[in-house]
Amino acid sequence: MLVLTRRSGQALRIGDSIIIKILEIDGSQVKLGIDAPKTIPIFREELYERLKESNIEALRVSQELPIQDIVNTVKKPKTELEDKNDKD
Amino acid sequence: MIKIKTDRFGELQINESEIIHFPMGIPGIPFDRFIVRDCLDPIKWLIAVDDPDAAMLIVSPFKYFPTYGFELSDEIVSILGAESEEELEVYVALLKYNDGVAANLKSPFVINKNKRIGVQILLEDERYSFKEPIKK
Repeated sequence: MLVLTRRSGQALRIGDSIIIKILEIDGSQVKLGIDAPKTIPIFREELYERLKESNIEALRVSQELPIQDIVNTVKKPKTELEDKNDKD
Repeated sequence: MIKIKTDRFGELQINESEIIHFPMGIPGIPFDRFIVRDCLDPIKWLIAVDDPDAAMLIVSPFKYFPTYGFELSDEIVSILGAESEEELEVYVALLKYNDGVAANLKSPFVINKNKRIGVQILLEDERYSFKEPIKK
């Protein structure tokens, strides 16, 4: 991994089109500003990992799901409570 | 017309006009061209064109979660090339939950059905989780 030291207000450039700016440093927290082309997705790493795992799980379990159950759920007539909520 | 042999769907015939491009990709799935096919109504398949055995079950979330909703950022609207809400379809992936089914409400798929462009977005909204059970 490339390691660089930067100060508040300084920036990094990745390729032609991505700039990461150090906006503010407060103790152990760093506030970053990122300029990148809009089609480049930017995630917090821990959320990206969870999203990736969730998608892989969705592929894996797709043939095991009791989908008939949820089809029945949606075809079931509404309960009185749901009906009331709709009117509110 | 593309014809592909698959384990799961047999020989799959795909029209170029039904292919949905995901320019930002789908995390964990190394493909960017997908199709949506009916499974058991209202459930559908989201199938990777380049490896149709990579497929997941998806459903429109609004019948199961009537209060579900989110706003799209200007960037996402522009990627989708959406001029109105009517052009857009929303799906969530189905997952296992004990012996039932759950939905990933945290990262819905939004598809512009006219322009055939899709994105999977990640919602900041704390009310929505990656695995929300669908009640029987």
